[in-house]
Amino acid sequence: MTQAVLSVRGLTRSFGVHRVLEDLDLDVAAGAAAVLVGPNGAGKSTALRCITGADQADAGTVEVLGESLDERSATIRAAVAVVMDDLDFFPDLTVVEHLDLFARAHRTPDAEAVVDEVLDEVGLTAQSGQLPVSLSSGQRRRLALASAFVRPRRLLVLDEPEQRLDQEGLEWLVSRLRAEKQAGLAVLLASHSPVLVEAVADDVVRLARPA
Amino acid sequence: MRHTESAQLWADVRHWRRSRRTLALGEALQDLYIGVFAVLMLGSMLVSVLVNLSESGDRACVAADCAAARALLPWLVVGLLLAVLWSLARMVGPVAVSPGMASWLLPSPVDRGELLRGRARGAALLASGVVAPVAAGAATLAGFGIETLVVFTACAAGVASYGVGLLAHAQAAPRTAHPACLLGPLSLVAVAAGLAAIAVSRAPEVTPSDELRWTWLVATVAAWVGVAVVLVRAGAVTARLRRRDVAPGGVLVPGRGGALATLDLALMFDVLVAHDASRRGAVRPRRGGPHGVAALVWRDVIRLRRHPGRAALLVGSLVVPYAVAAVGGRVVVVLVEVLVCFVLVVPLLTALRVLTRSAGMARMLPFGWGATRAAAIVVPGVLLVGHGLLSAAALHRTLDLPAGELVLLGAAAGLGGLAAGVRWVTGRPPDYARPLVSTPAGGVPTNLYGSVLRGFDIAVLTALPMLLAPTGAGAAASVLVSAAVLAHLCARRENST
Repeated sequence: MTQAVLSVRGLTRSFGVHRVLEDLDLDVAAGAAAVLVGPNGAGKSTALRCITGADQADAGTVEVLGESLDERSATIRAAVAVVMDDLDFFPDLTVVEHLDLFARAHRTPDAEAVVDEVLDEVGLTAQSGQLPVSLSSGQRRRLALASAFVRPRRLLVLDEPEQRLDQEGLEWLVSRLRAEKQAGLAVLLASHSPVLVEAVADDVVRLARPA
Repeated sequence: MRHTESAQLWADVRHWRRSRRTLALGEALQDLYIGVFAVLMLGSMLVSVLVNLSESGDRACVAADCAAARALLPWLVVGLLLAVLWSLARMVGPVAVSPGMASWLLPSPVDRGELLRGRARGAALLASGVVAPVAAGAATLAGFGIETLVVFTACAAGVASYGVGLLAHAQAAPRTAHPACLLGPLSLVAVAAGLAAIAVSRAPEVTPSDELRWTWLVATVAAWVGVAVVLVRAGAVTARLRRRDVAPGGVLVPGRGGALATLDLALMFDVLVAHDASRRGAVRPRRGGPHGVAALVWRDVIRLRRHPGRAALLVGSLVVPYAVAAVGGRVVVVLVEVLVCFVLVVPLLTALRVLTRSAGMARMLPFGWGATRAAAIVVPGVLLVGHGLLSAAALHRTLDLPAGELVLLGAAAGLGGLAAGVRWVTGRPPDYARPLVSTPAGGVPTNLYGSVLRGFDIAVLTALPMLLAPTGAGAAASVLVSAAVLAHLCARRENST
């Protein structure tokens, strides 16, 4: 049996008396994609935040590559590429400089070629000299997603990646995530897009809004 | 096609506002009374303090260097204020409109010159209203006689207004460099030249003396004639303004106002940085550089190349400790050096600011929180320690210490400024989720007032060992304090992470 890249057991999170997440179990193997679906407020983003260590769960365990999650661990941060909605860009670095920074910080081999390739793929080559503030919200989303693809990774965690993408962008995202799976990477995402879920999910985890 | 009457439009806007007012006339008058009373009371206290300080200055500042520097003080203060004022005016517009006005009124077939000229005139007159009291206060401190003080104040106010009027012209000009855009930088260069003159004990005689009174009067009248021309021509200038010239400033003002209302100065800094970035839009990208954590450090080198003005300001500010030393500042030079480094390092810490205000960017990088933040202060740290080392010669002028100890004092001062800057940039915003203190102005978070003093507390804390013991031992103690502060601030995890 393939060893799970991500293994979650009994994940529970409450805000005061309001329980958002209860006993979530989840495994994502290499080359597979798990998708969290459910209505707004069902706890999808909270689950991803707890799984990536951005938030502290009240109970439960998260293991990445067999190692208990400590997102301060450089090994885990090097293995897990996370794109949440809170990616805040440097206001004074251009599009290509951001990608160059991520690629070089992660010691990506042949960084410049990888950055050019991803830039072309997300359709931001013409905007490579622009500062993030001058991009449209859809272009900023593409830049955020591109930042996950210019670095080495074993697990990809995306929070509603289809947000603000146009039809062409969504098609690109589907093909990219399929390619990620084929390359043996594990993918975990939260999504409201039936197209995306249908196209990439091997395992669909349905979360319900707490009563 | 006939233009809509601007006066009719304003009358409609006024009517709309009046019909939705929530304050009775009596309540408004009561607020006005409290406001006027507070201004009069605080103003009279301030005048009394200034007069007393001026009299103390008359007694204490008798050496030739000190007297010359004191006479130059109003020029330096007004020059610095003009530089800040003109830079802000250029950033905002100076003519700006609210997002609502940009969306609804500007696209309508209304005479734009008539619609906007009041704003251009208001901005010009506001400048004189800001500069006049500061110029009068500085002239009082310098011991100017009453006639000289009035002429100096009137001249400074006129120049301020005229400058803002010229900037309105520059705003309406096509997208090319207009000479008026140089007003702010030139004013700053003049201040640096004045400080340099004090530092080398060659401060010029610039008091408007009796013999030169007519010249001063003519200059003042000329400035105000220029203001009158600017005010009269405001309509013609604003008629040429495009929507893209006036709308961004209008977005900036409420953003800054909101940040100021919550005393979140770091947020105000964010708004200014974002505004500057949106004005630039695109720049020539620079790629390459080292891998690993050094990649983050290298980005600060790129920023420095992209904003050479920041480095130039750092170099130019070296005259400040030397000027303070020249007027007998003695150990105060150390405190001044820490404060100069603190103020000037903030624009160099934009990377740290982004890494602190939200966790998203830091999470994308494969380093621990401490390593990520530490990398973001390497380049500013090197620059400030260099600044401190170059100021060591100023310390030599006032403190009789071996070269090694002077160098250590200089480096410690630079490091203290860095610690204060990092404290300012990484400060937590006012937390309205915590229990609030009840005040006449409503509920106030407990950390609101402290946010105004943020950074200055660490500047004083790191300077204190050197002020108490201006020796190598004091410097070593200061370095330890700075290192402890920096280690704590770099390692501290934010709630949002």
